[in-house]
Amino acid sequence: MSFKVVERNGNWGVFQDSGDSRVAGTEIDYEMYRRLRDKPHEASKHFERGHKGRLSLRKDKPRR
Amino acid sequence: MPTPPHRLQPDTSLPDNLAYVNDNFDKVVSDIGDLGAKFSTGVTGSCTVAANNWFAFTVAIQDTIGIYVKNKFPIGPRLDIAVDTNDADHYLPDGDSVTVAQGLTVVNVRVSKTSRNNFATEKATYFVTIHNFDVSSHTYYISADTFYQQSANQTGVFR
Repeated sequence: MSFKVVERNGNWGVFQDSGDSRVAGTEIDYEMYRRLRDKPHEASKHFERGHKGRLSLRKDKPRR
Repeated sequence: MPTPPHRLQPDTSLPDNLAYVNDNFDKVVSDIGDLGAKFSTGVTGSCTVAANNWFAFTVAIQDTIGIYVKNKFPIGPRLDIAVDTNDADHYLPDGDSVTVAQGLTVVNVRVSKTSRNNFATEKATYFVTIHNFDVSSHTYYISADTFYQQSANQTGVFR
């Protein structure tokens, strides 16, 4: 079981996949998944594109 | 000549059980479902899609073990995807798409398989695209389950 955040075309998604299936994306913890489950667009407040386009947690505080 | 087993034997290979599988194909199909293969693996999630925009993601099914039996239809993994509409559980074969109404918005979901699956060794990767045609952004809830199904359009040979 793992949790992922995905950004495509400026849109955001969060996923929970089982051990036998998976979605391409950046791993997040369960707490972040639970927080974003009903408002995935708010992932843009927490993540940014970094080196080689990889998603990473923003170093600054989330924008309000 | 050894007597064919009366059931699938633990710690044996498929060729060891081939006689049983051939003679009890329908039951084997049923047993596979009972063992949890049907809808046992999957992905759930949600995404926000801006107005007249699209979101795409890939689902990789790692366990793509299928069964070929001579003169029988093969059993292979398929993907079942549902978006949050009143008409849930849309079955989308490879390359197919569906357009469903969600309240005042319309979403188009398309699934395409990007790697060939030989029912034995390869991963099956599905590319799922959700297109929001509405003038407002919307959040969609997604469920994608893998299951095993007999193919009706090809016959396999197992030796």
